[in-house]
Amino acid sequence: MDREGKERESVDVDTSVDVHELVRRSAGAARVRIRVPVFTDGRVFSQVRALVESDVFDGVIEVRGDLLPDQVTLLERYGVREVWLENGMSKDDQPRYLTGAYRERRLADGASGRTTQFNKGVKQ
Amino acid sequence: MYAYDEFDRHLLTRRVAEFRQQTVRYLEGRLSEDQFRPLRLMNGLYFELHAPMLRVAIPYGTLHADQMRMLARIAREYDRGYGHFTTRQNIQFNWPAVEMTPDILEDLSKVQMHAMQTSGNCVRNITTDHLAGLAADEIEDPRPWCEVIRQWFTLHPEFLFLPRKFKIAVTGAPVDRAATLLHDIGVQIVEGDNGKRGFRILAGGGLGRTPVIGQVIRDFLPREELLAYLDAILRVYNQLGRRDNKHKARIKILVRETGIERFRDMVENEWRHVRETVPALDDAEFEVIRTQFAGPAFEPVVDTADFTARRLMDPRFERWVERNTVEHRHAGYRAVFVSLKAPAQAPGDLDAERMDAVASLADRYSLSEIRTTHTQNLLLPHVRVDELYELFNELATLALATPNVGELTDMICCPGLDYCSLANAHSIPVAEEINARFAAIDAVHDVGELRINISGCMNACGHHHVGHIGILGVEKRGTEWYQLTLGGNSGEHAALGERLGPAVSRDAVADTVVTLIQTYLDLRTDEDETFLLTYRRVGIAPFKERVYGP
Repeated sequence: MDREGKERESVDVDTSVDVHELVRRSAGAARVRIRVPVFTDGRVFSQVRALVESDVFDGVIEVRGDLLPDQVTLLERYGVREVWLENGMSKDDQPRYLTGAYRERRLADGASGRTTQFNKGVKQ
Repeated sequence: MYAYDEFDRHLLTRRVAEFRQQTVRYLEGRLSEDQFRPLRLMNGLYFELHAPMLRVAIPYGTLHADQMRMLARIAREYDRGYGHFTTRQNIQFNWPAVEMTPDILEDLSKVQMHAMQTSGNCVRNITTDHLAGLAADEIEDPRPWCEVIRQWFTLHPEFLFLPRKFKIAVTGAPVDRAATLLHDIGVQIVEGDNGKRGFRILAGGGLGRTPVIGQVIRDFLPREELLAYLDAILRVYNQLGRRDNKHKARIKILVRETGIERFRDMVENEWRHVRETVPALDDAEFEVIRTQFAGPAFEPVVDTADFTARRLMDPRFERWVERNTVEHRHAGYRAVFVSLKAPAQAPGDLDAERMDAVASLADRYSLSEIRTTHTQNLLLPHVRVDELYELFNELATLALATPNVGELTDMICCPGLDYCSLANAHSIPVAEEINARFAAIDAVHDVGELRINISGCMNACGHHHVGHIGILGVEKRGTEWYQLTLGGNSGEHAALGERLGPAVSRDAVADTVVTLIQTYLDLRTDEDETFLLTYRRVGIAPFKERVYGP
């Protein structure tokens, strides 16, 4: 429920949905659920990033499908915590060695005067 | 040279630990080969024809002498005593054991080296002009920009599982020595109408099965927008690049299928979104990196009298100076090519003993700096002219002074069927056979500037499309055949070679090359007209007639 008592919906998509279309469809939604058909399909990362950076979605991002434990770390770097591996692998099979890289350092440093969504904090 | 700070060191340590764990999971059967493949490739590890191969990054082709010593040590301790320098300025080891690769990466990290993103469907090693920072015609040293790009795209989570590999090259000079027209993205430093520096951005170039010359996507991009704009291109590609057919998955196919105008519109639209979240690169931030590439302390005046006298007295030295050294922007210095193309040597290969020797020579003569080139040679970038003669003699002792840089025996050659699991045909033995035909160095010298590129398959790792003479190995009914192309060029006025005619058999390749060169010698107007200029003037017909008959 949102502040006005309206039911906030969930949006279910796969990785083929364009990021801008995804953001439009997700406006005001409580949850976006993205299904990943195969772990080599990196489109999910663009989708997640677009959602995290959007001004119209502040709900929960859920990613599930054929993912490697190693990719959980990458999704967590975008603030995604709800990741479900549906290929029999365990999320904990690979320790989280790299929780950030140069990109996060620049964003954290606020390298320019530009305000970034990242400076406002990441969403779950 | 760029020196790692605590952040860099920590990142690399964690990356090695991550890969060690991934390797253990693979060896214990907790990761299948299909699952391990992208993870190992992102760390430079291939499973090749006979053994694993590890490709180590040499960012923008710049090495410190101590790093070269580490490469020598790795060649000795983990491999078979040699390494292979590649056309993208990296080095490959052809025989490491899988279980030892984490140890190799750990050793590399001790000298600020790694194998991150030297393969896989991600942003690869950023390459540039091997004369960066010393070329007289340079607008600006491109290496700091390469480092900015390298950092941004290293482990950038959005772009580690792209449709296909992604290669970026940067040039800071009007003469393009970085082949920016032949990369997924080419970045050219330019001066705008108001004298302000920025970038011309090209997209959609590449070799491989479908060679394409890149097209200008933005004529002038302000400096501070570089990362946001590159992000925008990659995001469009990540979403729309084909994932159903690896042979049609490169950005060049996307650009071709959408058309450059529409592709540009998509990127510009994406840029408007991306630039809201990617911090602009400010001057202070860039300056921190740029100062690390500030030139070394050069002697203000170097006595050139002895150098001039030596050139007059020793014709071997004179020829080497002419072919294997180039001008340096600082008077009294020259940059020296270390030829890895001696006769009977596999192009680009160097054994550990000579790696150590080159490192020592770099310490003594070139301010400890070494470069790797697109043509699979090395470069000692800062050598005083009054020390050139001494250096020449030392290199000659090591068989590293063959005066053939830019000439026909300075061939670019992929590993071919000797090592590569993708290859259809041999390439190194073909280079050796051509070399044998031109063993008399005078004959080579008379031919002048001529680039021969050899690939053992359609993937074109030997860049045959841009050889003045290109040679492509193909397999037909179990037999190796070779298609020849003429007129390719990766530099200024980049062009793809034109097919000469039907493929020739393996034992006819060297003879055919001899015929082509003899045709050129017969047709050229004078010694100043190079093979490429003659070809452009007369076209392919006379060459075709001499090879196949009227």
